[in-house]
Amino acid sequence: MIQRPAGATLEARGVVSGYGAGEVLRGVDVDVHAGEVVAVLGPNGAGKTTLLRTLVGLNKLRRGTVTIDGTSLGRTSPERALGHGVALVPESRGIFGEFTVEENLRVGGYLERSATAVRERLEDAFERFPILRERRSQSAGTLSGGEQQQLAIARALMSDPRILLLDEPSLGLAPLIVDTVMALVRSLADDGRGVLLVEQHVTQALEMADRGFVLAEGRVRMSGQAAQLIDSGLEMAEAYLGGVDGTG
Amino acid sequence: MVSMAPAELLQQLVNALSLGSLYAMLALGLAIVFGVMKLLNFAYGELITVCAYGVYVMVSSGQSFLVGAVVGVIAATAVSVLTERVAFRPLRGAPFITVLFSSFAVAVIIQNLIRQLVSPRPRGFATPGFLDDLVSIGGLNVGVLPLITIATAVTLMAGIVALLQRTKVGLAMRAAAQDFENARLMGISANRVILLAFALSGFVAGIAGVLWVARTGAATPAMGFVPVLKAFVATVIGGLGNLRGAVLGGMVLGVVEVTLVVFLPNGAAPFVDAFALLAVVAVLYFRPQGLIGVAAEVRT
Repeated sequence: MIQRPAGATLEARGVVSGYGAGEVLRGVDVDVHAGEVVAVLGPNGAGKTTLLRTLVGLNKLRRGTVTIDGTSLGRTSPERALGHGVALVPESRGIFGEFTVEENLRVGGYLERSATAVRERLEDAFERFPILRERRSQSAGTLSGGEQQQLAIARALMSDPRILLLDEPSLGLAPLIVDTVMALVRSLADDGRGVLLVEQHVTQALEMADRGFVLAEGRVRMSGQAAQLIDSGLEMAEAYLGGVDGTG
Repeated sequence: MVSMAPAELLQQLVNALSLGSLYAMLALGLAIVFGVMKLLNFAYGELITVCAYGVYVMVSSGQSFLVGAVVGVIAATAVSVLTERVAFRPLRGAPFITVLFSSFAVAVIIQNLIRQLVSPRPRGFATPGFLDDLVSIGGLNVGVLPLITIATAVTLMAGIVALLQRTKVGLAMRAAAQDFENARLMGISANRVILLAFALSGFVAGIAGVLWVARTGAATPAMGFVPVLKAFVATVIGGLGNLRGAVLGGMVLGVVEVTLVVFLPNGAAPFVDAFALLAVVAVLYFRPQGLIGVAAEVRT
Protein backbone atom coordinates (compact mmCIF):
# COMPACT_ATOMS: atom_id res chain seq x y z
CA MET A 1 0.00 0.00 0.00
CA ILE A 2 1.26 3.48 -0.86
CA GLN A 3 1.75 5.35 2.41
CA ARG A 4 1.84 9.10 2.15
CA PRO A 5 1.74 11.95 4.62
CA ALA A 6 -1.70 13.55 4.83
CA GLY A 7 -1.00 16.84 3.08
CA ALA A 8 1.40 17.97 0.42
CA THR A 9 2.61 21.05 -1.36
CA LEU A 10 3.31 21.23 -5.05
CA GLU A 11 5.70 24.02 -6.01
CA ALA A 12 6.63 24.96 -9.53
CA ARG A 13 9.12 27.75 -10.23
CA GLY A 14 9.97 29.38 -13.53
CA VAL A 15 8.29 26.71 -15.62
CA VAL A 16 9.17 26.98 -19.31
CA SER A 17 7.59 24.56 -21.76
CA GLY A 18 6.22 24.41 -25.27
CA TYR A 19 5.77 22.50 -28.48
CA GLY A 20 8.43 22.26 -31.18
CA ALA A 21 10.31 25.53 -31.48
CA GLY A 22 7.52 27.51 -29.78
CA GLU A 23 7.37 28.41 -26.10
CA VAL A 24 3.94 28.28 -24.53
CA LEU A 25 4.91 28.78 -20.88
CA ARG A 26 7.49 31.49 -20.27
CA GLY A 27 8.37 31.17 -16.61
CA VAL A 28 5.31 30.27 -14.55
CA ASP A 29 5.28 29.96 -10.74
CA VAL A 30 2.58 27.88 -9.07
CA ASP A 31 1.97 26.70 -5.50
CA VAL A 32 -0.74 24.27 -4.50
CA HIS A 33 -1.13 23.34 -0.84
CA ALA A 34 -3.10 20.55 0.77
CA GLY A 35 -6.73 21.41 1.33
CA GLU A 36 -7.01 24.26 -1.16
CA VAL A 37 -8.36 24.73 -4.63
CA VAL A 38 -6.26 26.96 -6.87
CA ALA A 39 -8.01 28.08 -10.04
CA VAL A 40 -6.02 28.63 -13.23
CA LEU A 41 -7.86 31.10 -15.44
CA GLY A 42 -7.02 32.66 -18.75
CA PRO A 43 -7.91 32.97 -22.41
CA ASN A 44 -7.68 30.11 -24.89
CA GLY A 45 -4.11 29.46 -25.87
CA ALA A 46 -2.73 30.97 -22.66
CA GLY A 47 -0.99 27.74 -21.74
CA LYS A 48 -3.31 26.40 -19.03
CA THR A 49 -3.44 22.85 -20.37
CA THR A 50 0.28 22.94 -21.18
CA LEU A 51 0.96 23.91 -17.56
CA LEU A 52 -0.91 20.90 -16.19
CA ARG A 53 0.68 18.57 -18.74
CA THR A 54 4.16 19.89 -17.92
CA LEU A 55 3.65 19.45 -14.18
CA VAL A 56 3.10 15.70 -14.68
CA GLY A 57 5.72 15.29 -17.40
CA LEU A 58 3.47 14.76 -20.43
CA ASN A 59 5.15 17.87 -21.83
CA LYS A 60 8.85 18.38 -21.30
CA LEU A 61 9.94 20.83 -18.64
CA ARG A 62 12.44 22.96 -20.56
CA ARG A 63 13.47 25.16 -17.66
CA GLY A 64 12.38 25.62 -14.08
CA THR A 65 11.68 23.25 -11.22
CA VAL A 66 8.74 21.23 -9.96
CA THR A 67 8.85 19.87 -6.43
CA ILE A 68 6.44 18.06 -4.18
CA ASP A 69 7.14 18.57 -0.48
CA GLY A 70 10.63 19.66 -1.46
CA THR A 71 11.38 16.55 -3.54
CA SER A 72 12.22 17.49 -7.10
CA LEU A 73 10.15 15.81 -9.76
CA GLY A 74 12.76 17.00 -12.26
CA ARG A 75 11.95 16.14 -15.84
CA THR A 76 9.29 13.84 -14.63
CA SER A 77 7.12 11.26 -16.33
CA PRO A 78 3.41 10.73 -15.59
CA GLU A 79 4.32 7.45 -13.88
CA ARG A 80 6.78 9.18 -11.59
CA ALA A 81 4.49 12.13 -10.87
CA LEU A 82 1.68 9.75 -9.93
CA GLY A 83 4.08 7.80 -7.77
CA HIS A 84 4.67 11.06 -5.87
CA GLY A 85 0.95 11.63 -5.56
CA VAL A 86 0.32 14.07 -8.42
CA ALA A 87 -2.56 12.98 -10.70
CA LEU A 88 -3.91 14.68 -13.81
CA VAL A 89 -7.46 14.37 -15.10
CA PRO A 90 -7.06 15.57 -18.70
CA GLU A 91 -9.48 17.76 -20.60
CA SER A 92 -10.57 14.82 -22.73
CA ARG A 93 -11.27 12.96 -19.44
CA GLY A 94 -9.20 10.05 -20.70
CA ILE A 95 -11.91 7.47 -20.22
CA PHE A 96 -11.09 4.06 -21.69
CA GLY A 97 -14.26 3.67 -23.70
CA GLU A 98 -13.74 -0.03 -24.32
CA PHE A 99 -13.41 -0.79 -20.63
CA THR A 100 -16.25 -1.21 -18.20
CA VAL A 101 -16.67 1.40 -15.48
CA GLU A 102 -15.07 -0.97 -12.99
CA GLU A 103 -12.10 -1.70 -15.26
CA ASN A 104 -11.55 2.04 -15.64
CA LEU A 105 -11.48 2.39 -11.88
CA ARG A 106 -9.19 -0.59 -11.44
CA VAL A 107 -6.69 0.73 -13.96
CA GLY A 108 -6.73 3.98 -11.96
CA GLY A 109 -5.40 1.97 -9.02
CA TYR A 110 -2.64 0.44 -11.14
CA LEU A 111 0.23 1.72 -8.98
CA GLU A 112 -1.36 0.45 -5.79
CA ARG A 113 0.24 -2.86 -4.88
CA SER A 114 -2.23 -3.91 -2.23
CA ALA A 115 -5.32 -5.62 -3.64
CA THR A 116 -7.13 -4.84 -0.39
CA ALA A 117 -6.46 -1.13 -0.80
CA VAL A 118 -7.76 -1.25 -4.38
CA ARG A 119 -10.93 -3.00 -3.20
CA GLU A 120 -11.45 -0.45 -0.44
CA ARG A 121 -10.97 2.48 -2.78
CA LEU A 122 -13.32 0.91 -5.30
CA GLU A 123 -15.92 0.71 -2.54
CA ASP A 124 -15.20 4.34 -1.59
CA ALA A 125 -15.64 5.37 -5.22
CA PHE A 126 -18.98 3.59 -5.46
CA GLU A 127 -20.12 5.20 -2.22
CA ARG A 128 -19.13 8.64 -3.38
CA PHE A 129 -20.50 8.15 -6.89
CA PRO A 130 -23.51 5.83 -6.61
CA ILE A 131 -24.20 6.14 -10.34
CA LEU A 132 -20.88 4.42 -11.01
CA ARG A 133 -21.93 1.47 -8.89
CA GLU A 134 -25.11 1.21 -10.96
CA ARG A 135 -23.09 1.33 -14.16
CA ARG A 136 -20.14 -0.71 -12.91
CA SER A 137 -20.36 -3.42 -15.61
CA GLN A 138 -21.38 -1.04 -18.37
CA SER A 139 -18.96 0.00 -21.09
CA ALA A 140 -17.58 3.40 -20.05
CA GLY A 141 -17.94 4.74 -23.57
CA THR A 142 -21.72 4.64 -23.18
CA LEU A 143 -21.81 6.96 -20.12
CA SER A 144 -23.13 10.51 -20.39
CA GLY A 145 -20.68 13.43 -20.23
CA GLY A 146 -21.41 14.11 -16.56
CA GLU A 147 -21.07 10.45 -15.66
CA GLN A 148 -17.79 10.23 -17.56
CA GLN A 149 -16.47 13.22 -15.63
CA GLN A 150 -17.43 11.57 -12.35
CA LEU A 151 -15.68 8.42 -13.54
CA ALA A 152 -12.56 10.37 -14.54
CA ILE A 153 -12.33 11.96 -11.08
CA ALA A 154 -13.23 8.73 -9.28
CA ARG A 155 -10.53 6.98 -11.27
CA ALA A 156 -7.93 9.60 -10.38
CA LEU A 157 -8.84 9.08 -6.71
CA MET A 158 -8.06 5.37 -7.03
CA SER A 159 -4.36 6.23 -6.76
CA ASP A 160 -5.11 8.29 -3.61
CA PRO A 161 -3.32 11.38 -4.98
CA ARG A 162 -2.25 14.25 -2.76
CA ILE A 163 -2.42 16.79 -5.55
CA LEU A 164 -5.07 16.63 -8.28
CA LEU A 165 -4.75 18.58 -11.50
CA LEU A 166 -8.13 18.98 -13.18
CA ASP A 167 -8.33 20.27 -16.74
CA GLU A 168 -11.74 21.81 -17.45
CA PRO A 169 -13.85 19.25 -15.62
CA SER A 170 -17.02 21.17 -16.56
CA LEU A 171 -16.32 21.17 -20.29
CA GLY A 172 -19.39 20.24 -22.31
CA LEU A 173 -21.59 19.69 -19.25
CA ALA A 174 -25.08 21.11 -18.65
CA PRO A 175 -25.12 24.10 -16.22
CA LEU A 176 -26.80 22.11 -13.46
CA ILE A 177 -24.16 19.41 -13.67
CA VAL A 178 -21.39 22.05 -13.66
CA ASP A 179 -22.55 23.04 -10.15
CA THR A 180 -22.36 19.41 -9.05
CA VAL A 181 -18.85 19.04 -10.47
CA MET A 182 -17.72 22.26 -8.73
CA ALA A 183 -19.10 21.00 -5.42
CA LEU A 184 -17.26 17.75 -6.00
CA VAL A 185 -13.99 19.59 -6.67
CA ARG A 186 -14.45 21.54 -3.43
CA SER A 187 -15.06 18.35 -1.49
CA LEU A 188 -11.78 16.90 -2.82
CA ALA A 189 -9.87 19.80 -1.27
CA ASP A 190 -11.90 19.54 1.93
CA ASP A 191 -10.65 15.94 2.15
CA GLY A 192 -7.13 17.34 2.42
CA ARG A 193 -6.00 17.13 -1.19
CA GLY A 194 -4.56 20.04 -3.10
CA VAL A 195 -6.45 20.84 -6.31
CA LEU A 196 -5.18 22.82 -9.29
CA LEU A 197 -8.20 23.56 -11.44
CA VAL A 198 -8.22 24.87 -15.00
CA GLU A 199 -11.67 26.27 -15.70
CA GLN A 200 -13.53 28.34 -18.27
CA HIS A 201 -16.46 28.94 -15.92
CA VAL A 202 -14.57 31.73 -14.18
CA THR A 203 -17.17 32.90 -11.69
CA GLN A 204 -18.21 29.45 -10.57
CA ALA A 205 -14.58 28.40 -10.26
CA LEU A 206 -13.62 31.44 -8.17
CA GLU A 207 -16.66 31.14 -5.93
CA MET A 208 -15.48 27.70 -4.92
CA ALA A 209 -11.67 28.16 -5.09
CA ASP A 210 -9.37 29.51 -2.38
CA ARG A 211 -6.92 31.20 -4.67
CA GLY A 212 -6.52 31.76 -8.34
CA PHE A 213 -4.31 33.20 -11.01
CA VAL A 214 -4.73 34.41 -14.54
CA LEU A 215 -2.39 33.02 -17.16
CA ALA A 216 -1.95 34.87 -20.43
CA GLU A 217 0.70 34.53 -23.10
CA GLY A 218 2.48 31.96 -20.99
CA ARG A 219 2.91 34.21 -17.93
CA VAL A 220 1.01 34.77 -14.69
CA ARG A 221 -0.74 38.13 -15.17
CA MET A 222 -2.59 38.29 -11.91
CA SER A 223 -2.91 36.22 -8.80
CA GLY A 224 -4.53 36.41 -5.40
CA GLN A 225 -7.27 35.14 -3.13
CA ALA A 226 -10.36 34.04 -5.03
CA ALA A 227 -12.50 36.72 -3.38
CA GLN A 228 -10.01 39.44 -4.40
CA LEU A 229 -10.03 38.22 -7.95
CA ILE A 230 -13.83 38.33 -8.06
CA ASP A 231 -13.76 41.90 -6.71
CA SER A 232 -11.25 42.97 -9.30
CA GLY A 233 -13.44 41.91 -12.19
CA LEU A 234 -12.33 44.75 -14.45
CA GLU A 235 -8.63 44.18 -13.91
CA MET A 236 -9.17 40.54 -14.58
CA ALA A 237 -10.91 41.28 -17.84
CA GLU A 238 -7.87 43.37 -18.82
CA ALA A 239 -5.55 40.57 -17.90
CA TYR A 240 -7.62 38.31 -20.10
CA LEU A 241 -7.57 40.79 -22.96
CA GLY A 242 -3.82 40.81 -22.72
CA GLY A 243 -4.00 37.18 -23.81
CA VAL A 244 -3.20 35.70 -27.16
CA ASP A 245 -6.60 36.02 -28.72
CA GLY A 246 -8.42 37.97 -26.03
CA THR A 247 -11.19 35.42 -25.73
CA GLY A 248 -12.29 33.36 -22.79
CA MET B 1 -15.57 -29.35 -58.50
CA VAL B 2 -14.03 -32.43 -56.97
CA SER B 3 -16.42 -34.75 -55.22
CA MET B 4 -15.20 -35.90 -51.83
CA ALA B 5 -16.08 -38.62 -49.37
CA PRO B 6 -17.26 -37.35 -45.96
CA ALA B 7 -14.23 -38.88 -44.23
CA GLU B 8 -11.83 -37.11 -46.56
CA LEU B 9 -13.76 -33.90 -46.15
CA LEU B 10 -13.36 -34.13 -42.37
CA GLN B 11 -9.65 -34.77 -42.75
CA GLN B 12 -9.30 -31.71 -44.95
CA LEU B 13 -11.25 -29.77 -42.35
CA VAL B 14 -8.66 -30.79 -39.73
CA ASN B 15 -5.91 -29.70 -42.15
CA ALA B 16 -7.66 -26.37 -42.69
CA LEU B 17 -8.08 -25.82 -38.96
CA SER B 18 -4.46 -26.74 -38.40
CA LEU B 19 -3.11 -24.34 -41.01
CA GLY B 20 -5.59 -21.72 -39.82
CA SER B 21 -4.39 -22.18 -36.23
CA LEU B 22 -0.79 -21.69 -37.33
CA TYR B 23 -1.67 -18.52 -39.23
CA ALA B 24 -3.80 -17.33 -36.31
CA MET B 25 -0.81 -17.65 -33.96
CA LEU B 26 1.46 -15.85 -36.43
CA ALA B 27 -1.10 -13.06 -36.79
CA LEU B 28 -1.61 -12.82 -33.04
CA GLY B 29 2.06 -12.12 -32.42
CA LEU B 30 2.10 -9.38 -35.03
CA ALA B 31 -1.15 -7.85 -33.76
CA ILE B 32 0.02 -7.70 -30.12
CA VAL B 33 2.81 -5.27 -31.00
CA PHE B 34 0.66 -3.35 -33.47
CA GLY B 35 -2.07 -2.93 -30.84
CA VAL B 36 0.22 -1.35 -28.29
CA MET B 37 2.69 0.51 -30.52
CA LYS B 38 0.84 0.96 -33.82
CA LEU B 39 3.98 -0.55 -35.34
CA LEU B 40 3.96 -3.05 -38.18
CA ASN B 41 7.02 -5.02 -37.21
CA PHE B 42 8.31 -6.50 -40.44
CA ALA B 43 11.19 -8.04 -38.52
CA TYR B 44 8.56 -10.35 -37.01
CA GLY B 45 9.27 -12.98 -39.68
CA GLU B 46 12.91 -13.04 -38.58
CA LEU B 47 11.77 -14.15 -35.12
CA ILE B 48 10.48 -17.31 -36.81
CA THR B 49 13.87 -17.60 -38.55
CA VAL B 50 15.75 -17.15 -35.27
CA CYS B 51 13.54 -19.80 -33.69
CA ALA B 52 14.17 -22.17 -36.59
CA TYR B 53 17.95 -21.76 -36.28
CA GLY B 54 17.67 -22.26 -32.53
CA VAL B 55 16.00 -25.60 -33.21
CA TYR B 56 18.55 -26.43 -35.93
CA VAL B 57 21.56 -25.68 -33.73
CA MET B 58 20.23 -27.81 -30.90
CA VAL B 59 19.06 -30.74 -33.02
CA SER B 60 22.27 -30.81 -35.08
CA SER B 61 24.33 -30.85 -31.89
CA GLY B 62 22.54 -33.99 -30.78
CA GLN B 63 19.82 -32.55 -28.57
CA SER B 64 16.22 -33.62 -28.87
CA PHE B 65 13.71 -31.66 -30.94
CA LEU B 66 11.92 -30.71 -27.72
CA VAL B 67 15.08 -29.09 -26.31
CA GLY B 68 15.50 -27.36 -29.68
CA ALA B 69 11.93 -26.12 -29.48
CA VAL B 70 12.44 -24.64 -26.00
CA VAL B 71 15.69 -22.97 -27.08
CA GLY B 72 13.99 -21.69 -30.25
CA VAL B 73 11.13 -20.10 -28.32
CA ILE B 74 13.53 -18.52 -25.81
CA ALA B 75 15.71 -17.21 -28.67
CA ALA B 76 12.73 -15.68 -30.51
CA THR B 77 11.50 -14.01 -27.31
CA ALA B 78 14.96 -12.68 -26.47
CA VAL B 79 15.58 -11.32 -29.97
CA SER B 80 12.15 -9.67 -30.00
CA VAL B 81 12.92 -7.91 -26.70
CA LEU B 82 16.38 -6.98 -27.94
CA THR B 83 15.08 -5.44 -31.18
CA GLU B 84 12.64 -3.30 -29.17
CA ARG B 85 15.50 -2.07 -27.02
CA VAL B 86 17.93 -1.43 -29.89
CA ALA B 87 15.82 -0.57 -32.94
CA PHE B 88 12.49 0.77 -31.70
CA ARG B 89 12.94 2.41 -28.30
CA PRO B 90 15.35 5.08 -29.61
CA LEU B 91 12.69 5.92 -32.22
CA ARG B 92 9.81 6.28 -29.77
CA GLY B 93 7.56 9.05 -31.03
CA ALA B 94 9.13 9.02 -34.51
CA PRO B 95 6.84 8.92 -37.56
CA PHE B 96 5.26 5.57 -38.48
CA ILE B 97 7.33 5.27 -41.65
CA THR B 98 10.65 5.75 -39.78
CA VAL B 99 9.86 2.93 -37.39
CA LEU B 100 8.66 0.76 -40.27
CA PHE B 101 12.02 1.22 -42.01
CA SER B 102 13.79 0.39 -38.78
CA SER B 103 11.88 -2.90 -38.70
CA PHE B 104 12.99 -3.63 -42.29
CA ALA B 105 16.57 -2.90 -41.27
CA VAL B 106 16.32 -5.33 -38.37
CA ALA B 107 15.01 -8.00 -40.75
CA VAL B 108 17.89 -7.49 -43.21
CA ILE B 109 20.51 -7.45 -40.43
CA ILE B 110 19.23 -10.67 -38.87
CA GLN B 111 19.08 -12.41 -42.26
CA ASN B 112 22.64 -11.38 -43.10
CA LEU B 113 23.96 -12.28 -39.67
CA ILE B 114 22.59 -15.78 -40.17
CA ARG B 115 24.13 -15.94 -43.68
CA GLN B 116 27.51 -14.98 -42.22
CA LEU B 117 27.40 -16.94 -38.97
CA VAL B 118 25.68 -20.13 -40.14
CA SER B 119 25.34 -20.44 -43.90
CA PRO B 120 23.50 -18.85 -46.79
CA ARG B 121 22.26 -22.33 -47.70
CA PRO B 122 19.23 -24.07 -46.23
CA ARG B 123 19.88 -26.26 -43.21
CA GLY B 124 17.74 -29.33 -42.83
CA PHE B 125 17.19 -31.23 -39.61
CA ALA B 126 15.23 -34.23 -38.46
CA THR B 127 11.83 -33.68 -36.92
CA PRO B 128 10.38 -36.31 -34.59
CA GLY B 129 8.92 -39.18 -36.59
CA PHE B 130 5.71 -39.38 -34.58
CA LEU B 131 4.68 -35.95 -35.91
CA ASP B 132 4.00 -37.61 -39.27
CA ASP B 133 1.96 -40.41 -37.72
CA LEU B 134 -1.76 -40.69 -38.09
CA VAL B 135 -4.09 -41.33 -35.20
CA SER B 136 -7.51 -42.80 -35.63
CA ILE B 137 -10.31 -40.77 -34.08
CA GLY B 138 -13.74 -42.29 -34.61
CA GLY B 139 -12.60 -44.05 -37.77
CA LEU B 140 -10.98 -40.90 -39.04
CA ASN B 141 -7.23 -40.79 -39.66
CA VAL B 142 -5.82 -37.51 -38.47
CA GLY B 143 -2.20 -36.38 -38.53
CA VAL B 144 -0.46 -35.89 -35.19
CA LEU B 145 1.15 -32.57 -36.18
CA PRO B 146 -2.17 -30.95 -37.22
CA LEU B 147 -3.68 -32.04 -33.91
CA ILE B 148 -0.73 -30.69 -31.92
CA THR B 149 -0.93 -27.43 -33.88
CA ILE B 150 -4.64 -26.98 -33.13
CA ALA B 151 -4.21 -27.91 -29.46
CA THR B 152 -1.23 -25.57 -29.08
CA ALA B 153 -3.10 -22.69 -30.70
CA VAL B 154 -6.14 -23.18 -28.46
CA THR B 155 -3.95 -23.36 -25.32
CA LEU B 156 -1.86 -20.37 -26.34
CA MET B 157 -4.88 -18.23 -27.12
CA ALA B 158 -6.62 -19.21 -23.90
CA GLY B 159 -3.45 -18.26 -22.04
CA ILE B 160 -3.23 -14.89 -23.76
CA VAL B 161 -6.91 -14.15 -23.12
CA ALA B 162 -6.42 -15.02 -19.45
CA LEU B 163 -3.33 -12.83 -19.27
CA LEU B 164 -5.07 -9.86 -20.86
CA GLN B 165 -8.40 -10.23 -19.07
CA ARG B 166 -7.46 -11.44 -15.62
CA THR B 167 -4.13 -9.92 -14.73
CA LYS B 168 -3.11 -6.41 -13.79
CA VAL B 169 -0.43 -6.37 -16.44
CA GLY B 170 -3.02 -7.46 -19.01
CA LEU B 171 -5.26 -4.59 -17.97
CA ALA B 172 -2.29 -2.25 -18.43
CA MET B 173 -1.62 -3.62 -21.92
CA ARG B 174 -5.23 -3.24 -22.96
CA ALA B 175 -5.29 0.30 -21.57
CA ALA B 176 -2.09 1.20 -23.44
CA ALA B 177 -3.55 -0.22 -26.65
CA GLN B 178 -6.63 1.98 -26.30
CA ASP B 179 -4.93 5.22 -25.39
CA PHE B 180 -1.24 5.28 -24.67
CA GLU B 181 -1.09 8.73 -23.11
CA ASN B 182 -3.98 8.10 -20.76
CA ALA B 183 -2.46 4.78 -19.78
CA ARG B 184 0.65 6.68 -18.71
CA LEU B 185 -1.52 8.98 -16.62
CA MET B 186 -2.67 5.88 -14.74
CA GLY B 187 0.96 5.24 -13.78
CA ILE B 188 1.47 2.55 -16.42
CA SER B 189 5.09 2.58 -17.54
CA ALA B 190 5.35 2.94 -21.32
CA ASN B 191 8.66 1.07 -21.41
CA ARG B 192 7.32 -1.84 -19.44
CA VAL B 193 4.16 -2.31 -21.45
CA ILE B 194 6.00 -2.09 -24.77
CA LEU B 195 8.71 -4.47 -23.61
CA LEU B 196 6.07 -6.91 -22.48
CA ALA B 197 4.25 -6.64 -25.81
CA PHE B 198 7.49 -7.47 -27.64
CA ALA B 199 8.25 -10.35 -25.26
CA LEU B 200 4.77 -11.78 -25.77
CA SER B 201 5.00 -11.25 -29.52
CA GLY B 202 8.38 -13.03 -29.61
CA PHE B 203 7.05 -15.87 -27.49
CA VAL B 204 4.07 -16.37 -29.80
CA ALA B 205 6.37 -16.14 -32.84
CA GLY B 206 8.61 -18.77 -31.24
CA ILE B 207 5.74 -21.19 -30.63
CA ALA B 208 4.45 -20.66 -34.18
CA GLY B 209 8.03 -20.99 -35.44
CA VAL B 210 8.47 -24.40 -33.82
CA LEU B 211 5.25 -25.63 -35.44
CA TRP B 212 6.35 -24.09 -38.74
CA VAL B 213 9.71 -25.91 -38.78
CA ALA B 214 8.02 -29.09 -37.61
CA ARG B 215 6.19 -28.97 -40.97
CA THR B 216 9.22 -28.04 -43.08
CA GLY B 217 12.18 -29.50 -41.18
CA ALA B 218 14.47 -26.80 -42.55
CA ALA B 219 15.89 -23.40 -41.74
CA THR B 220 16.90 -20.80 -44.34
CA PRO B 221 18.03 -17.20 -43.81
CA ALA B 222 15.07 -15.71 -45.68
CA MET B 223 12.45 -18.15 -44.41
CA GLY B 224 10.74 -15.45 -42.31
CA PHE B 225 9.19 -13.76 -45.33
CA VAL B 226 6.34 -16.19 -45.90
CA PRO B 227 5.18 -16.35 -42.26
CA VAL B 228 5.29 -12.55 -41.82
CA LEU B 229 3.34 -12.17 -45.06
CA LYS B 230 0.73 -14.68 -43.88
CA ALA B 231 0.55 -12.93 -40.50
CA PHE B 232 0.17 -9.54 -42.17
CA VAL B 233 -2.54 -10.76 -44.55
CA ALA B 234 -4.40 -12.44 -41.67
CA THR B 235 -4.32 -9.32 -39.48
CA VAL B 236 -5.52 -7.20 -42.37
CA ILE B 237 -8.40 -9.63 -43.02
CA GLY B 238 -9.38 -9.56 -39.35
CA GLY B 239 -8.82 -5.86 -38.75
CA LEU B 240 -5.43 -4.45 -37.80
CA GLY B 241 -4.50 -4.46 -34.14
CA ASN B 242 -7.54 -6.39 -33.07
CA LEU B 243 -6.51 -9.68 -31.47
CA ARG B 244 -9.79 -11.45 -32.08
CA GLY B 245 -9.66 -10.23 -35.67
CA ALA B 246 -6.10 -11.52 -36.07
CA VAL B 247 -7.13 -14.99 -34.91
CA LEU B 248 -10.20 -15.00 -37.13
CA GLY B 249 -8.20 -13.67 -40.08
CA GLY B 250 -5.63 -16.44 -39.63
CA MET B 251 -8.32 -19.10 -39.54
CA VAL B 252 -10.02 -17.66 -42.63
CA LEU B 253 -6.73 -17.56 -44.54
CA GLY B 254 -5.88 -21.14 -43.57
CA VAL B 255 -9.30 -22.44 -44.56
CA VAL B 256 -9.24 -20.55 -47.87
CA GLU B 257 -5.79 -21.93 -48.73
CA VAL B 258 -6.65 -25.54 -47.92
CA THR B 259 -9.94 -25.24 -49.78
CA LEU B 260 -8.11 -23.94 -52.83
CA VAL B 261 -5.54 -26.72 -52.67
CA VAL B 262 -8.33 -29.29 -52.51
CA PHE B 263 -10.60 -27.89 -55.16
CA LEU B 264 -8.27 -26.25 -57.65
CA PRO B 265 -7.17 -28.46 -60.54
CA ASN B 266 -3.60 -29.78 -60.19
CA GLY B 267 -2.16 -27.38 -62.78
CA ALA B 268 -3.36 -24.40 -60.76
CA ALA B 269 -1.60 -25.48 -57.56
CA PRO B 270 1.28 -22.95 -57.87
CA PHE B 271 -1.30 -20.17 -57.89
CA VAL B 272 -2.84 -21.00 -54.51
CA ASP B 273 -1.24 -17.96 -52.88
CA ALA B 274 -2.41 -15.71 -55.69
CA PHE B 275 -5.98 -16.97 -55.35
CA ALA B 276 -5.81 -16.65 -51.57
CA LEU B 277 -4.67 -13.04 -51.88
CA LEU B 278 -7.49 -12.47 -54.36
CA ALA B 279 -9.90 -13.71 -51.71
CA VAL B 280 -8.35 -11.21 -49.30
CA VAL B 281 -8.89 -8.42 -51.80
CA ALA B 282 -12.51 -9.51 -52.03
CA VAL B 283 -12.90 -9.40 -48.23
CA LEU B 284 -11.37 -5.93 -48.07
CA TYR B 285 -13.49 -4.69 -50.95
CA PHE B 286 -16.61 -5.33 -48.91
CA ARG B 287 -15.13 -4.68 -45.45
CA PRO B 288 -12.15 -2.33 -45.77
CA GLN B 289 -11.81 -2.21 -41.98
CA GLY B 290 -11.37 -6.00 -41.83
CA LEU B 291 -13.79 -8.55 -40.45
CA ILE B 292 -13.71 -7.28 -36.85
CA GLY B 293 -11.99 -3.99 -37.37
CA VAL B 294 -12.84 -0.60 -35.99
CA ALA B 295 -10.03 1.27 -34.31
CA ALA B 296 -6.69 -0.38 -33.74
CA GLU B 297 -7.04 -1.82 -30.30
CA VAL B 298 -5.98 -4.85 -28.37
CA ARG B 299 -9.27 -6.57 -27.78
CA THR B 300 -9.83 -10.13 -26.87
